[in-house]
Amino acid sequence: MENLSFVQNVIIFIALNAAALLSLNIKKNGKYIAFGLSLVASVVFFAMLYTQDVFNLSDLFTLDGNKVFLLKLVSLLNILMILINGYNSLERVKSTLLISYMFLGGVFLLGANELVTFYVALETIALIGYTLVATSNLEYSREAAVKYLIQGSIISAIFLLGAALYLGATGGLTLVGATVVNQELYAIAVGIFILTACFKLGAFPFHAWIADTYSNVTLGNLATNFFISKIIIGYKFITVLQALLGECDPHFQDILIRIIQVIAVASAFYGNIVAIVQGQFKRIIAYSSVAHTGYMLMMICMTPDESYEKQLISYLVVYSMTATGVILILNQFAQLNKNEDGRGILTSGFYRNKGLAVILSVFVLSLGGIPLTAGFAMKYMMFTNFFKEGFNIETTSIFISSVVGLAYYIRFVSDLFTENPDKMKLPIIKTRFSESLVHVIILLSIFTFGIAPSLFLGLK
Amino acid sequence: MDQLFLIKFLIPLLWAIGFIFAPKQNERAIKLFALIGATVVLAYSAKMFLDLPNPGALTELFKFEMPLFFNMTYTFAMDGLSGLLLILNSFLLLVVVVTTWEIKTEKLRLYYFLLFTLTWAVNGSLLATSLYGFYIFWEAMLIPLFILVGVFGGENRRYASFKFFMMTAAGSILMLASMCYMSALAYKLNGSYDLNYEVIKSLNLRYSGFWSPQSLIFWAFSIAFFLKVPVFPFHSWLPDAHVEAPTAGSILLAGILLKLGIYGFLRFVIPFYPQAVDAYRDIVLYLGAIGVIYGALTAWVQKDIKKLVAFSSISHMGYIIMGVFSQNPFAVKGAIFQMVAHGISTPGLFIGVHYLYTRRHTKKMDQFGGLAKVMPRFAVLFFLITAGSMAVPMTCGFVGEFMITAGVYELNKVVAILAATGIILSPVYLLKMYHLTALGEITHEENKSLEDLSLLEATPMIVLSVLTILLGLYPKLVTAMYEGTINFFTHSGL
Repeated sequence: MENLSFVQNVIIFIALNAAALLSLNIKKNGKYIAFGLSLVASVVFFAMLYTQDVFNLSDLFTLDGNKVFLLKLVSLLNILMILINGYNSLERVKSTLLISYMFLGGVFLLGANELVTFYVALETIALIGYTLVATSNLEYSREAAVKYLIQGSIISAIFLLGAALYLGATGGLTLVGATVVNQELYAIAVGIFILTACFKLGAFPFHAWIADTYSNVTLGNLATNFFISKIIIGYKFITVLQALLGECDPHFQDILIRIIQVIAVASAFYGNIVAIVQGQFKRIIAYSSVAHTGYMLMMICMTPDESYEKQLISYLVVYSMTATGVILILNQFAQLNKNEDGRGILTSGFYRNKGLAVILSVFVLSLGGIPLTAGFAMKYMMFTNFFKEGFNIETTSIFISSVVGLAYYIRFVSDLFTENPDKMKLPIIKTRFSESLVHVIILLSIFTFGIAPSLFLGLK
Repeated sequence: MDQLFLIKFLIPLLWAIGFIFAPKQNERAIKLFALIGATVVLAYSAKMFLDLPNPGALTELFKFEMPLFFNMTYTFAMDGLSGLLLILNSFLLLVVVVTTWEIKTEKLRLYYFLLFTLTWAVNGSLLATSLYGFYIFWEAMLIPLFILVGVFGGENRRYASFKFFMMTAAGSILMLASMCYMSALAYKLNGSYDLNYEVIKSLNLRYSGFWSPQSLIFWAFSIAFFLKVPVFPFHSWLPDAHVEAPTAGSILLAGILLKLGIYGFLRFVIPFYPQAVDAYRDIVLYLGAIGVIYGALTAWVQKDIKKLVAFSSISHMGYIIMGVFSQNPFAVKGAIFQMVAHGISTPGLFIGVHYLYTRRHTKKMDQFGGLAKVMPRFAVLFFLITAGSMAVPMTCGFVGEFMITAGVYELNKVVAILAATGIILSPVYLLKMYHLTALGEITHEENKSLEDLSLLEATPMIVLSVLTILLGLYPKLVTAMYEGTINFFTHSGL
């Protein structure tokens, strides 16, 4: 019965969103109905998650423990993003619906226990991703979407090759408790999955799609895309790869871990260095996400223990939530500048909306890892654990790269507090209630995580 | 443990928050609020020091456990050294408030908010004895100063504030990396990430050459502190920051913030990494000596008074770092004294520059000359402070530099002789500065009508001049405050 309730709930979610999609055709108030239905679907789904702790449909799909916790968190973020997106324009409502389907893909990815479900869920997220870019109506949106689609398709094909090799090596497609009969084949398959993870998360040198995609999607879509794709895809790939590496022959395991570390350090350096020379905020965020992917990949190399998954989740949530907050505020600034996102848009921000400027400063300082913010606590926890694992050179290298990262984050603050002689002519930035609510929630989370991370991590 | 410590400690921060709610229009009320706040902060700092049972040892003031932050403990403790610097910090806040009393800005509340937050962060760094707590306040110092320079600074304030922030933050990252490493080590040893004083001691890091943990951590901390002091060749942010910073920023930067780098060495490097300190002592001594000469020579060729004072700071801080690393108790004692002496004379010079700038809107020396004729009060006070900075006997500058040079001479004669050239060079550039501004004939028409200092303006300079002479004649007034701690900052005390 319990498992049936989950299926029912998914069906309700799909049905309500399908009804929302259809209601867009209603000429009068269609967008309002669609918005309302989509919001109800998400709220119902979120509420249902509190009815039980384990959703076990079959060997193919299980949601338990940390996954349920993560799902609750992402569901909540999904509701907040729907509220932020609002119902002012038809485009926004359409985006909301697309994001709801992306969220559904995320749910399936999270619970996937074998490679077919994993692949289908991943492709669902990717397809919505391509569509969100293509429908962004910016100058090069379609070109960016095509580029993303072509590269994504190639990676999908490679992933399928990996799945085939995995089948050959283990005799099945299940990701849990597989028996490896051919270590060479298995190592190649895991290597291919690592490559897929690098592409999906945007690690160097598989990052080519990321800057164009980010810079050609509207900031609102980018924000929503961020928390779903980064948190869920990041979590799933890292935990799965870690488990798969555990089954590898020590010799191959050593080689694969070395490869991951090299990619991680290279991503951290490349992302941070390239971000500093960018003139557009979206491109800065794109390259900074390449750098953060480097930090994430290092987590694959860690020895899993009790607190490991919680550390991973907290890092992903903190990073994605903060980045989402930054993007949302940048969006508010950009909207007053014809959706331009050049660095000039933040000039005199402090004099145009003090609260917003201070909140944005806290967000970017958190991304930069300044103490008392969540970013610092996560950085401290993560890097201390890397040292504990004995990754001294890699960790020190990533530390050094983060100095560069701090440079572009601090430029945000510098821009905000720079006084423009014509500041009186610049438009005051107004904030809607839903936007303020999200900013405040993120701000409180940043300080709560920053001051009391163990609340979340359960560390002793 | 002091039960009221937390309240006392939070006063500057609470005062800073008070400015957010102050009525924007009533400038006078805001300024009075700032003056009262600064006086209260100074009073409680002095009281905390006077209440110390034994200034020679670290007295725990407050400790609280943070089970929710990786089970760490935050310990605040105080000894003669931290007490002395705490008083200096609070005193300089009061000096800043009085000096910039006539400041005209739309953002007065932000200005005082930043000053009080900065003071609070410095106090926190001085009192924190757990490494994590120290790091938090160390980083917290950067942000108010970054905004202070970035918002209230000169024409190139963005560049200067960015450079200052990035260079100091780069150093901090190295410190953080070391902390993470030590935390990982502490976890393996004790099952806790905590890095309080006792834990750091117990880590007992191995030294066996450059690549050993003690050596690497020594360098990571040292680079962070070198950047803060700043020691040659890590100094390039300082002249820009000083030139572009508003007077308040310059006073606090020169008066106390640079000393935090030295304090970091004394508190967290010298006691814990003795073999590394021994191994690399000569390198640091030579860097200090180069800094003394480089700073002096560069100051000599400057045309901008503020830049000259900034480079003179590099020179003076070179002495202090030499004194600390000589590990000779006499020199260490001199170095700490010199921290105070520099914290009096250099802010005094910046105050002088501030008064000149507010009258003429230029800091170029060739735009002045003959000011003693129209501003005699200024000329006398500026001379007394300049004398202190150039280490004239019977001024505070002389005592510190003499003790350092004598102490270093025992250890390394070449370095001592090199450093002594700084004693010769400092009168050269400082007298040149004084000569070009105050002496001679008035060559610029605008200078003829300059007003002398008002009583309010003269007050901080009078106080600093009196201290310059008083501490020159009776240095024990200061040395008695920290004498008992010297052993702890030299190997003999380990």
